Amino acid sequence: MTRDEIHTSLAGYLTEMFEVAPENITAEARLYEDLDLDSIDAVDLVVKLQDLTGRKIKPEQFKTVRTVGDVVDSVYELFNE
Amino acid sequence: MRLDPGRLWRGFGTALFLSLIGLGGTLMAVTVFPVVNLLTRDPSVRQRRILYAMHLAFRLYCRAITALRVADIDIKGGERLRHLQGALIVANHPSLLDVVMIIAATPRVQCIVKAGLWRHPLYRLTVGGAGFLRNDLEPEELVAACTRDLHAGLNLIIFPEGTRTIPGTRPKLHRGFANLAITAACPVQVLTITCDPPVLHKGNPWWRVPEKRSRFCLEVGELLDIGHFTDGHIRSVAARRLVAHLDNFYLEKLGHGHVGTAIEDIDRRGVEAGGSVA
Repeated sequence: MTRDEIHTSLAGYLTEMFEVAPENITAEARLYEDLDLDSIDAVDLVVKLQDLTGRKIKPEQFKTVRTVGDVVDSVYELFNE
Repeated sequence: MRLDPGRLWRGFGTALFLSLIGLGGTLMAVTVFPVVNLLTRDPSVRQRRILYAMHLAFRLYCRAITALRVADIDIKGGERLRHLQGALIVANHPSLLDVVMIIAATPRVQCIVKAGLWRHPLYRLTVGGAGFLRNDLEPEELVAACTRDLHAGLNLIIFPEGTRTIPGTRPKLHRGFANLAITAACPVQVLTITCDPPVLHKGNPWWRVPEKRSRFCLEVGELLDIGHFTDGHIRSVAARRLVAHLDNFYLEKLGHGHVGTAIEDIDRRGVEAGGSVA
């Protein structure tokens, strides 16, 4: 998977699951502050990303994630390990 | 600031009743709670009885506030709270008296309380003895504890505004209450609280009492069926629907500026003053 593909899938989840307006989804957008996700939302998102990649995501891998771009990077690394 | 006898009395009464919460609570914690504990073997029945004793004490407290003319307290639809079971109670949060009025009107109420009060000399015995839930539990643990109490038939109070509302602002509602209601699959009882003129609100010292006696009003609103929000929706979407519903409800009920707030009060006075000049 390329970074673009990951970004597209992630943008899909954010609009469907968390009703984020598509125009707000940029690489710099912060999940909690800008996109109004909460900690339970983050857990649900990790489950979705595990389904996407078929890999297990450890909570500590997601601890440092702040922005949409961070999510894309960490999923990309995970997928191409 | 003109000091008439009624206003001085209300200032004194406010101080008296504020200190009475801490002192009276501690007094109960060292007298009533131990007696209940001695007479009740089953720990869950024990907590129910202690919560019921607090309900009675707060009822007396509210009656005394009214009888001594410190403030008026008006409860609309109170009989529905008396029979409420296993519901999440949500309310807007204009003043310090809100939680007291709700417990006074509702038997079987559980609260989530700031963890700092477990170290506070005046409150630690009361909050510990009543078995209230601490807000510093791990999120999963707190949700599990709330769900357990709700399913056991207790009602749980949450203020979705998170903290007392600064008069005249429209607060952003936190989503935690909605996630909890969906997890516990419990009904949500909506309350609206107003206080006019405002007293004991955020950013106003307790001793600054208004010229007119304040009237607190607690109005029991709809009992929301959580199934209506979860129906066909995943958790995250259902929670957002519930929050949006409540947000609209309070907007319609209280208006943008929230009725009876200091800012409106100032506006009103401004208009009156302007009128008399003209």
